[in-house]
Amino acid sequence: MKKIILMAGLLSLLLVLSACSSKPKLRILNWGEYINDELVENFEKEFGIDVVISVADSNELFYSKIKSKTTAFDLVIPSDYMIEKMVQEDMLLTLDYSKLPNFSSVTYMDGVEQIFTSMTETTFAATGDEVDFKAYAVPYFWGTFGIIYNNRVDGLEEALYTNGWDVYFEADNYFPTARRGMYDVPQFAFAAAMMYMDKNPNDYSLANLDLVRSVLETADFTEWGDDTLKRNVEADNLDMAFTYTGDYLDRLYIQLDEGKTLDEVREEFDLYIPDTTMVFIDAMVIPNTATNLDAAHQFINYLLNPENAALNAEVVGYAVATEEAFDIIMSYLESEDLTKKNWAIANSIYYNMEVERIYYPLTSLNPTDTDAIGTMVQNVITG
Amino acid sequence: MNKEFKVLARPYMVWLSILVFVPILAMILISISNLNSSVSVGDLVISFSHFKLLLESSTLIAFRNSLFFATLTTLFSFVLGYFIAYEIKLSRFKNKFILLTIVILPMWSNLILRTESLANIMSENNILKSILGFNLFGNISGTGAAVLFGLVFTYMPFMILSVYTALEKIDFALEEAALDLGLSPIKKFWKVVFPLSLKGVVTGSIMVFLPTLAGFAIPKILSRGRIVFIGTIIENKFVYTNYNHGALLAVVILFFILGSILLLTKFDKEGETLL
Repeated sequence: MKKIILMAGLLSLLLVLSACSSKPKLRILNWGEYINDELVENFEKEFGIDVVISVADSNELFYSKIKSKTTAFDLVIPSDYMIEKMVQEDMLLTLDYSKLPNFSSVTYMDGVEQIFTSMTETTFAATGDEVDFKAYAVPYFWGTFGIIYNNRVDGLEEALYTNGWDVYFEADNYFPTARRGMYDVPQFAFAAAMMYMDKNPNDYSLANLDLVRSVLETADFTEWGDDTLKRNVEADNLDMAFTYTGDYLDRLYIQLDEGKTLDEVREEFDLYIPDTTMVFIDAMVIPNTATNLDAAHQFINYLLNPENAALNAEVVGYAVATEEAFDIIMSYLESEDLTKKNWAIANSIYYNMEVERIYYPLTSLNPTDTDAIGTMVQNVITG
Repeated sequence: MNKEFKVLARPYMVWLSILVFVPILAMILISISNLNSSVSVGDLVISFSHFKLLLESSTLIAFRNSLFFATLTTLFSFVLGYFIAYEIKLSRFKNKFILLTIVILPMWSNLILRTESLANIMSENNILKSILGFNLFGNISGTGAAVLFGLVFTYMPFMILSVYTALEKIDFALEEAALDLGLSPIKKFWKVVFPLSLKGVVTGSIMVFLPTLAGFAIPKILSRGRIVFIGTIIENKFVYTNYNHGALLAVVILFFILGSILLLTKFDKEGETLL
């Protein structure tokens, strides 16, 4: 009996010891289902580092988790406007580019460069500080917004490609029968209406608020939704909806998995990305609470390697940030593997870097302005 | 023995004060001050500036929508639910428990799931249409009718259960006496059964009216975001971290609820309605 207890004791001791191995740790705070586990394993093996990933589901949670300092995260992946806020509040460390040798061999895509410029502009407008955000952040993924449309409706596609935003906002003039849906995030609705009027969506003022209000009133949307929008266009219950490009790709890949061909799906519902559109970027930053700076830099450098970025994108499905990683995905266009081939085709259509567009990431407005937009949108909905 | 019961009642009283009374006081304080996530208690300033939100057209319309739909839902649940309860009471079926279980069958699945599916089959093109060849609900998704249907469908079981409980308690001897004294069955129902079951109707009405008044999920899904309830606005205010406005509207709702309960106790002096 005593022997058994002794054995059990030893075993559990062994377990405890193996759990707290002497390997250095890299603590990452990420979004859920937003990394390829294979990539993490490869990194752990190659560098002998234990990667511990925590998950949060909003930028605001990222912010409060870093602020509260309960866990010292070495690497966080927030979005554009939150990075602006974190830099303004001195929560981030500047990156040591001498530890990121892969950076010199990659080129950011045009859209990514535009996002960095726009972030500098909005921060300058808000605080008067000239900030180069590349000093703090290396892009992880980015994505655009677009209009999912019902391709069973004759002529809608052509109208969208000829008249862009006008078809969506002035349905009466172009497509009186079109059922249209808007994302029920007030700032998205505001931004879309601003882009329709050829204005910068971050340019908030009371005058613009009035203009947007009348645009939204005229538009008279059939639906104000979120995930329901993409499903309703897919099911032929809506004809146009402004939403994330990722929302469309999400439904596209599901349909492809169910055995439809890409052309069949596109004949039913497709995505149009306007010449001026909203974008988001999620980028890797190092908070000033970080303890393992070397590992954090190693990980960023690892992901700057195009091969690794492409491997990560295989699972996540947003747009890669570098042209080199994009080229690797394009090399799958001739692939035997149908899933990879479809993925490459989808990337070539919807994340095509040859097409020149104007991209705007949304900035974080101050609470009063956010609230004014929210109330305006509620007033429009209630009529 | 009595003393021990008192001890057992204490945990809930503690629970009530910590998790209900204190938060309500905090909510009232937040609604009349500048207190929020970035302003600490030290910098507290009492102000009634948030009250102009109550004059915003969206707020007024949202209140009107909530009250209108809550009233209609209660009426429909009463008219439709009462007779189901009465039928169950009259039924010769021995195991009435099974009948009641069937009534609450819809509640076995998750509310959101049920509402989403309802929204689905109410829209123009849906799975039911491709099976049946015609639209059962006639594309009412996004309209007030859809919302009303969803609310009645969800909350009517509460009405049925309360009315049934009241009906079951009625002494059969009273009904026999009424018939003996020469009342026709219909007159017996209106003069004896119905008045005696009113307490169940009132309880049921409260259980239908209050959640409908404060709810937001069902109207949001079934109206496709087009019919705004006061709950929708409260949710939005909290999502976009405007705690002051959210708290203010929640306090107003609280007064509505308190008001309806007070109104009720006025009508119900003998305390028959479980309240």
